[in-house]
Amino acid sequence: MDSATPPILKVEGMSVDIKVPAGMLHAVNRIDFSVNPGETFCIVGESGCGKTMTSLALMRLLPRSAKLTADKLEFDGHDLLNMSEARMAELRGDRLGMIFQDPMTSLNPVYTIGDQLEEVYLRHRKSTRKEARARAEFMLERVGIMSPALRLRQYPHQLSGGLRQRVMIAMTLMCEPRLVIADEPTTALDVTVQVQILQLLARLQKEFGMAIILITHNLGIVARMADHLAVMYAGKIVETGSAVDVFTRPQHPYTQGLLRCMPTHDHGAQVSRLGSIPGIVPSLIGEQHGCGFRNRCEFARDICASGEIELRTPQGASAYRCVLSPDERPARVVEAAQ
Amino acid sequence: MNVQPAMSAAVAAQESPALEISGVGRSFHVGAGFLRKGKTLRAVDDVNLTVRRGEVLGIVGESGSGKTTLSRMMLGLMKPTDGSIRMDGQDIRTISRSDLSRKVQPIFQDPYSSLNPRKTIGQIISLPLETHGNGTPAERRAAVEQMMLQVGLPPRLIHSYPSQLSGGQRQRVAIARALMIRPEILICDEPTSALDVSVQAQILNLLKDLRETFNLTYIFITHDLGILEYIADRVAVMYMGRVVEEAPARQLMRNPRHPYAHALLGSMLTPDPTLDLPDLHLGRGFPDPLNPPTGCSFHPRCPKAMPECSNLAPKPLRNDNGMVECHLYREGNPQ
Amino acid sequence: MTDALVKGPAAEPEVIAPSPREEMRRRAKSHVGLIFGGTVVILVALIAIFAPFLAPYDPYDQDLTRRLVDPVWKTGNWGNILGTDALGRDYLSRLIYGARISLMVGFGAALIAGTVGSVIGILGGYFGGRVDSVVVYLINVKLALPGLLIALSLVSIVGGSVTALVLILGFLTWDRYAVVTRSVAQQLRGNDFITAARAVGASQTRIILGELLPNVANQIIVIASLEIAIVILIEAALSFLGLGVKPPEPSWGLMISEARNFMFFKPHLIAIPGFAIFLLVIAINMAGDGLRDVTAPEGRN
Repeated sequence: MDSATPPILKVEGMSVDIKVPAGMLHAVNRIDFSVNPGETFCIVGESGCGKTMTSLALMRLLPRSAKLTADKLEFDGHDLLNMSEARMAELRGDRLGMIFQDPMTSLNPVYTIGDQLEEVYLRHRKSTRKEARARAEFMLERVGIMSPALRLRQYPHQLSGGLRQRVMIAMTLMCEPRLVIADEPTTALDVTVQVQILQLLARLQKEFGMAIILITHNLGIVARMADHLAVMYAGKIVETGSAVDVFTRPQHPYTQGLLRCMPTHDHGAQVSRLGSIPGIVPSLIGEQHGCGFRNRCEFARDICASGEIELRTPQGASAYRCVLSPDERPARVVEAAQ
Repeated sequence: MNVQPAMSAAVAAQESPALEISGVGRSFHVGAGFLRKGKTLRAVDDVNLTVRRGEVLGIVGESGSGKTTLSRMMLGLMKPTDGSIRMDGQDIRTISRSDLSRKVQPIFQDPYSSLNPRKTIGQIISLPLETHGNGTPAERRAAVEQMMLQVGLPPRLIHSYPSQLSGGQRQRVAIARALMIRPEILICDEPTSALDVSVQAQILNLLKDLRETFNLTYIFITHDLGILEYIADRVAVMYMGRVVEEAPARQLMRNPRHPYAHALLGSMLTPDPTLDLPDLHLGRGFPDPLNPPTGCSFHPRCPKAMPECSNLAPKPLRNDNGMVECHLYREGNPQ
Repeated sequence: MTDALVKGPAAEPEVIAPSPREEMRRRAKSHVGLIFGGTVVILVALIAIFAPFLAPYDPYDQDLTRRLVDPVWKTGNWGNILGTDALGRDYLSRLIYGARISLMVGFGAALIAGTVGSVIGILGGYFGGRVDSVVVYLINVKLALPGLLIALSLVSIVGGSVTALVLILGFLTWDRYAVVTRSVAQQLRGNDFITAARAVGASQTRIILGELLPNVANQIIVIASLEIAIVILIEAALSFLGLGVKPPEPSWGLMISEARNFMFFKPHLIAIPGFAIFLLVIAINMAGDGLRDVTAPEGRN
């Protein structure tokens, strides 16, 4: 994973604990990952796995009740963990951008598109209104919005969902950030628009050379976008590696289960049943021991319940946290139902 | 497709399709107010669909395609402005609310808003029985527990509240409620899109099982063709209120004819890391439903648009197992 | 695929959260305002109910030979703990009976206003359209009325009695219930559980009473608690002005009014009923706020 260039983001032992009435909720539990410059790193997982808390933690936008701890949290040579709030505010929107799921609530309805785009630029760059306007127009054009001069005078509610997300992307890219964190950027959009927005992101990434952390629950998006990825479950990264490795040779039972749940498109060859993962996500409140997936895992045994599950790093495959390697697990009764 | 008036009701119920939608349209007046004339929004326009007993008809479309309006009309919760909907050969306008509820029941998208947060699971599931005055309290309770087992809910959850359950469990409760009065048709409006992938698969498998157990007919509304490939027999593709293509599910997946169906199929992202993002060649001009484009409503986004598409609305071209509404396909030129 | 994996619905189907009632009880237990306010309100209510057993004397019994007796902390005389008023009536007994009037007017008016307002608001919010236009019109008319002036003039026409006050204040304070229940009903109307109830063939009455009302009830109770406090204050003010409860009834407002002439010589005559009003109103407000906090964030996790 390591190349000559140092990673743009390095996360080691990061945890997010949230105080809730019933106790301490361990939303993110000692995760490590790093993102290389210019690559797309996907964090994939289901609701409640901690992926959104991870993105908020990286932006230092966690709710007040949440506590962030980490051994190391380094972005582009800056220590994010101990950075002052004022410095952090300078960084956000400048070198560190964020795209949210709902473009409607992340744009302010009482200001025009132009006002909001220019504001970002004026805050971080010494420039005149005129330069900012020119930059905003340029960016709108880059995100594929036709007649940008007209759009700059419009308000968010005058745009469709897809256009608003394009505006949001333009706003994030105003200052050419080195890293963009996109949290479910296309979940609220129609499927055809989703593909168009993802294509746009991929094209802009090449153009501006930024790294993207893409947070999503959609495995299809991950497969098509990611260079590297991390699969999160119950606050932990259970598997991480290159996209090709994870999708062609998934190592962790959870990743394997998730991939079996996807309706595969085989041009008409109908499957009679989908694979599914029985059970529900465990509570993350209180001390967490062992593997978080064990109550839904068909291979679970006693050792899964205790201690920290070590990360295994096999040759030529992704790293994963499971006490059993895929070879050690009993063979499945293959496709008996079919 | 027309039911002969001479045919007796009983015979009609035997032989007629479970659901027959002919020429159904629904308009809304929006923006009207004091001294202001509103505009007409054509949410559903001239939809013709026939669903056989035991069949699963998938309806696929994006936001604003009119699929939810259509589902509300099929449930009898909204009256069509044009056309008619028949169930077992009988126009639903002539069926009483209570009888209609025994024929058709909904499953909704959001399992959070579809269950009353102030009621226990038992109360929620037994509501249909209470409404219809079926059985004694003890019998109802037994029926509720029986149904809970059938949808995979442990009966001890009977006294729990919706807020105590996970999304998947809630959707099971909604399914149990819908099945309590043994309807013939279930209208599932995006029943899994609010759920996690692993739970989605559980619910889809459950719906597939229940279809056999209870002999159900499904109308399955979704934006995700992948789900329809798994569950549907036939698929109707909707765009801006109209059905633009209808075909057996396999055929549609293998060989979509309408350019929009093609784009939808292309938007399916299979988890294959060797593939790149598909290029849909779609225009980005989003039509305003209040000022729909002239001619074919898809032409501003269509990669295959021809000059005539912008001024002439295509006529539906039907054959034995489907229809398509596009200028690319005409009588005598059924590619 | 293995059968266990495919068929098993929920291998370990656990409940993921405490029930709403447990959750509410837990929040209530740690809410100081609710506990204090609730305790005071319940105590005052108990005192009002058991007034005949608690009051040492008849509150109407005059003894002109024992006028303006000082309370126990000045005289050391435990016969009249809070002393007597200008007509020689036992002040403690009058205070105890006065709680009855305050609470009766407060709760009575809230009951009427709550019923009227909630019915109007729920109907408007649930049905929408023309019904709602009428409801909005009614609310606007009500809001444009000078409520207190009308109360004053009505009381001066029909005369002050507890019944008259309950009716007049009840029909003058329904607007807030209507406004809030209308907007809640409007939000709920769009929820799928209402649609589901319609789809199983439930009647409108059943939907309103069985599905809607349980979800609006919390809000009604919260508004009621705040409105009760306001009505109690209005009653005291009207009685103080001589337009409310008529002498010799022992209303707290009237007690303050009667003590006006001795304000400088016997300040406790004003301070005691004044403090009683203050304590009751602040307790009701705290309880109301507490109820809102405890019941508000519900259903979602």
